[in-house]
Amino acid sequence: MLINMTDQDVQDIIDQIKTVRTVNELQELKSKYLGKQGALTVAMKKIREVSPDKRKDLGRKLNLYKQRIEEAVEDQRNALIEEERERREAAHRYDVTMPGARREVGALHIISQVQEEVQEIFLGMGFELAVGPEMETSYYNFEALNTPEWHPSRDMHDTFYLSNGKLLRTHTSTVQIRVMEKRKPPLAIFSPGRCYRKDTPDATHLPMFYQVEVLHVDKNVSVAHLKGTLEILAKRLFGQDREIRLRPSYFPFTEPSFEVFVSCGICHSTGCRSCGGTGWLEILGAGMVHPNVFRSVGYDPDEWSGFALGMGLERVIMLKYDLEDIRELMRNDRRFIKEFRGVVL
Amino acid sequence: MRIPTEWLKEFIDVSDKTTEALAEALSISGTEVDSIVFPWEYIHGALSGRVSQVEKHPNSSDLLITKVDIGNRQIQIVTSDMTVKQGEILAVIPAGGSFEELEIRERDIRGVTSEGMFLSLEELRLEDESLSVFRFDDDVEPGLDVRKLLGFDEAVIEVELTPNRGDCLSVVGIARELSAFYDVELKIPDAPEPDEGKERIEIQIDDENCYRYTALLLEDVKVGPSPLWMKKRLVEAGLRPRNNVVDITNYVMLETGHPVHAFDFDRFERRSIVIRGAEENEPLRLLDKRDVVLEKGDLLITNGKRPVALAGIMGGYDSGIFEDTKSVLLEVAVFDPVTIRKTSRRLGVQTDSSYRFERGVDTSDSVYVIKRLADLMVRYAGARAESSVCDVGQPRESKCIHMRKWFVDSVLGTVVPIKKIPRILHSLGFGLKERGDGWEVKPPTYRHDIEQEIDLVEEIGRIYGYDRITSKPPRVMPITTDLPEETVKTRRARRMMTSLGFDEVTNYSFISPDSLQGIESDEEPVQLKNPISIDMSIMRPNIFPGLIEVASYNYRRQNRDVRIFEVGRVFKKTEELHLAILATGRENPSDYSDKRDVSFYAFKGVLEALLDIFGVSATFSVNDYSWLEKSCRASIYHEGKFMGFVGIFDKERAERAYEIKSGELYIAEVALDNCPRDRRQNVRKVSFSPFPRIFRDLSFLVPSGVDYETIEKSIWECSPDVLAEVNLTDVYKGKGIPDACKSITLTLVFESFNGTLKDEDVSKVIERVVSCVEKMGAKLRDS
Ligand SMILES: [Zn+2]
Repeated sequence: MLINMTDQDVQDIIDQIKTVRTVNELQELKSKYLGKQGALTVAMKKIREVSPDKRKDLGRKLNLYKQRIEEAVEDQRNALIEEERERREAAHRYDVTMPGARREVGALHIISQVQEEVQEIFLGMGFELAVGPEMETSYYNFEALNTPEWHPSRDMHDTFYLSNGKLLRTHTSTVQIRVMEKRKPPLAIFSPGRCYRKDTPDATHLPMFYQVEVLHVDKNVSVAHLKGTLEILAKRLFGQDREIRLRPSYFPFTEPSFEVFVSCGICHSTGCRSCGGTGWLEILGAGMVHPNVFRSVGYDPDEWSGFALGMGLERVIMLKYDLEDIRELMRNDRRFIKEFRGVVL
Repeated sequence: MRIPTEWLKEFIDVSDKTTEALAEALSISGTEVDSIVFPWEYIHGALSGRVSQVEKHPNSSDLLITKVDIGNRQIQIVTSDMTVKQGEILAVIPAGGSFEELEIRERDIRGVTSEGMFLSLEELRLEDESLSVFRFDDDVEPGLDVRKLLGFDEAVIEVELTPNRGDCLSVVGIARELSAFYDVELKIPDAPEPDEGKERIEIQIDDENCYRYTALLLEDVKVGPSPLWMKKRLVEAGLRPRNNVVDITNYVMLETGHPVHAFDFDRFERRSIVIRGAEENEPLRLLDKRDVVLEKGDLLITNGKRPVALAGIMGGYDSGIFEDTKSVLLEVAVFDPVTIRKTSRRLGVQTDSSYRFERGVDTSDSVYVIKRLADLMVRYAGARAESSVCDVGQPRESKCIHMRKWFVDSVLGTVVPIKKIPRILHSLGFGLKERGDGWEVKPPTYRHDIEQEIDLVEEIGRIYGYDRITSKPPRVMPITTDLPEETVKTRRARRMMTSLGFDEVTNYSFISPDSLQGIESDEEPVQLKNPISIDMSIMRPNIFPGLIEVASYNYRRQNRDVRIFEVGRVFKKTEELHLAILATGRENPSDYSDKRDVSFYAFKGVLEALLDIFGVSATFSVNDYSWLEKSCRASIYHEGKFMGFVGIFDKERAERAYEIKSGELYIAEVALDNCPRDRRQNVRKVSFSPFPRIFRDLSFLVPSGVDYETIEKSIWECSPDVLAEVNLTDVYKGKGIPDACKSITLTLVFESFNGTLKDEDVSKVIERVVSCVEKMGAKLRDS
């Protein structure tokens, strides 16, 4: 084929391309016409031998031919790929509805999840995490917390005593004292951990429970700051639409002391069956650190003030997940644990 | 404590408030309200009825047939009370009403229709046993609602009082709270002066723990039933009516909060009272016939010779009130709270009286209280004062407290209007005088909980209302310290183990001694002195016994594929952080294409992955723990330190003690305290060579007595530093392998930091490696 290539010649080439069955053959044909030594390439090089007046038309024609062949090759390549795809599909079809060979992902116990959520909330506010022993002395559990031995407020804590002369802490407030003894204000700490009270297990009591204690001491810390902190806690733990409410109460180590309520998530504090008609659910105890507690760690109560709060995680879980019997938490039934599978950051 | 609202209204005008509003007011101002109850709700539809006709029952001599006018109609009632007479006004529940769980219906009593029932005081719960029906006064109209007639339609508020508020353990105390909240007047009626009796009672206080003792002698007392209204109030408050003398003492205690006592003075034997400390081992029989043995430190009321009462707790049996009592000595005393609490605790005797004394009783109202008692005794027990009021000891003055205005505002975080403060404190019974930047405040004598300035701030806050304080965000500084190591490791273990497909469980810190049976330990475990049960009496020195319990619990519920862990503290001389792991059943329970059970090597692989992330280069060596299967038990070491163990739990014990009858229980426990805080702390720079690595596979025939570790060690020991890794890539037993041997294939990886390694260099090393390994008893297989 030479410079005098005709339309018919091009059509023959295209027909030939259309009969090709494999990509390799197609590639061979492509090189035969369009490759470095290909017919069309050679013809185009020979244009120079043609008289200048015809060169222009001839060049345009050959370019058009080249273009048509290239298009044919591409079309055929696509057709072949499509054919191949159809062949693969026909030969091997996956049943996407069939279950995967699933990997087992472990579930964190719901108590750990809530504990970590609470940790995130307080770390986010800038409170430091502190830990302390569960086997405690009476001093850290009671006396330093303004609870003398024969005070009736000891009735609020039925205590386990140990053969090594210690007791099992009845609250994580012990950590307050341990931290304050070592450091000077200002400080903002929280302390999660196990606590113990001699309660026979029933639907709402366990002899071992988890508490998070929070303490903030600085100049001019007031009830207003406690309320602000509680609002952040309630909103992040239960939902941004929740509100809190304080009711006066009594704890020996805080004054004033409060029971803290969060608005019912179902009725938004108008009262419904799930909140017993009150619109509010009790979640924790809090208060302003009692001056006697400051005195016991050598802080001047006229210079420093602070708030403390203590929250039971079981109570939070009961409210968040409608758990009616907290003994379920200690049974460790695989189905129960899997029910709460999830990921906490 | 139960507060009948009808009684409350005697002291404060809150008639315009609903019970719910009163309850809310109490709760806002700091008295927790448990519930609102209607104690008489069990009577439904009861009406007053006039007996218009009484006839004998034709078929029974023990029954009467009555016709009763109940206002709009007449009904017929058959009764077994033969004392019912024509014209009497009785309490009737006609058919259609109900009593407790019982629906009252028309029914046939021995051939005669009865259309209702009469109520007795027993059925009204006002006495223990009634012999006849209850009768109204003759002027009561028939057809009226019985509950309304008797005042049985008002609510009772049940409050839960915190231990600091002993002053609220009374109707007057609660009325005082409401009067402060609503800013309305509290009206306490005067008690009339009793007629001066001639007798004088000698009172001698020989122990400083008795602060004040006030007595009055009454004669001509007639023991009998109390008036209906008093019984009703006692019942509503949760007490059982007994007789007028006992009821009046209870009534006055409930009203004033001051525990009082009544002695039968004729049984006193002597005419004097001595309050003294008990002798060691002194015996006393209490009113409830309990015999107690006293100790030094207990406080007694005596007649000068023998004890007649355990002060503030309970009277003695020998001087108690009986039906024939005529001479009554009234006691209104105040005792030291701690003394009362110690004795009450030790003897296990807690009474309404000791409960109040423990929480502090007013020392200033003794004379009022005894006059109130005497007045009621005169009116309802026919008594006459035989002595004057004999009063020994002093009321305790309360200390003045300087309260600064700025301090109030700074604690509450708001500016309390300056006029409000005196108003609030006055309404709570405090005295106030302006002084300097605040006030000089004198608490009322019944407020034992008010000791310092902050106590006053709380009083102002709770009445002013915490809802009025606008919240502010906390002003907390950025954290500058590290998380505690325990927290970091706990989180890491939780993330690792859940990623590895293990579920987290939580067990009590206390376990049963059975679960430690035969488990060797070099320390005595810590025990609970007062456990709830023997099953929860030992502080766990290890976590794994709890995991086996959980496996057992799930196994018995057809959950046989258990892969669990727990991370937490164990209790020895100190508290340590441990992680325990357990696996049994299938390796991949949710993968239908994988039917394999967990193997020891798979389990150990999990453990190794975990230990690696914890920066532990673990070595394992066989141990002799008797509670693990002999074929599979090992201790874990890291840099010479004991880290824990891994193995298969004794199968016989698993079946016997835990009902786990099939499959292996793989368990491991690791002391996380012995792990580095962070494995990356020793990673300084990238430690692999940029030049290509050379991989060589070697297969050895290894007799079963030779441990893998021996082989690998020998390779490392004879290799120059071009050896980078030794990886086990295959283990094979079976066809073509002699019995008691296995074939292992190792991939050795070589690299140099100086340049590309040459094949011949590597081959030389390989030759040396093979000869070293063969010295250990293995043999190179032809590849
Ligand atoms: Zn609700």
